[in-house]
Amino acid sequence: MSDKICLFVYGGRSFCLPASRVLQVLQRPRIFILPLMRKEMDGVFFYRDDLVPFLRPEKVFPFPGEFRQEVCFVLVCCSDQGLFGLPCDRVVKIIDSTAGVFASAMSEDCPGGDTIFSVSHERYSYLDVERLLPHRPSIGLDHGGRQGG
Amino acid sequence: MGPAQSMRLVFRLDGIGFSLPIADVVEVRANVESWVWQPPTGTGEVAQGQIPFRGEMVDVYDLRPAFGLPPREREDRLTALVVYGREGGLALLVDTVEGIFAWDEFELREIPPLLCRETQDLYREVAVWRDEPLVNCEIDTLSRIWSGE
Repeated sequence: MSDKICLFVYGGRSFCLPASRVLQVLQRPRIFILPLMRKEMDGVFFYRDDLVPFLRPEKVFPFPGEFRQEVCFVLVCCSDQGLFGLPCDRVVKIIDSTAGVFASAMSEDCPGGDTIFSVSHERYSYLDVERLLPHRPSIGLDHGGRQGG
Repeated sequence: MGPAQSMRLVFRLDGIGFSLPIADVVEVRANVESWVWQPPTGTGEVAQGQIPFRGEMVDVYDLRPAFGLPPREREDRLTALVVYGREGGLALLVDTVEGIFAWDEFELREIPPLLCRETQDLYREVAVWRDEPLVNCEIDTLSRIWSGE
């Protein structure tokens, strides 16, 4: 059975990640600010009684985009370090990974990673969930090692 | 624990909620702004002034800088919580006091490891109160702010 890929748009850019990492898409969850958070985090929200950190991708890998202050949707994602939330303006769809093609890319063409997933003439930056999180090697410094696929 | 001791006080700093066991609070003093002064930048002063309390003067400390929150405006109304720390009485500046509530309205939870900076040790738990996560304060932990530990 092939993997599923979740395609979404944030800040006017197209991203994707393995659908197996996405537990749920929440619409406008209430986000609470707490003090002394890691710089990548922008608050917490409740998901099924769990308190989940909310990560702002633009704080992890700065990229030009049109970011809304107000969050439309949050992807609840799982990682080896626990649950976290990713903002999302629009979920495009969930498709089979065989429907597209993975290719390496330079980080400037591919915010958040070094792999592009192309499908139907659209290009999606493939997000490696573990590399997004704090205390992992900085994204953009290492172009080796193709992700996913 | 008696009825008065089994309650928690809720206060706010820059809109963020905090809670503190009421047993640690001796008195809440409103409108203390005339007793608070701003030490010149770079003097290393930690105390923000002194207020009279039961025949003695007690130091006033602002919790905002300790929690990395923006400085106050000079015209802000100020409330002080007089508490007894390791070295006697002192006053903690807060923005507003929301009230005192029964202990069983709060549910303590550990903060998600991904959320906070590894160097922060001012709080390790949040107290969930009315669907809002509040910073769970302990006097012994806060006392590090003014004791310089």
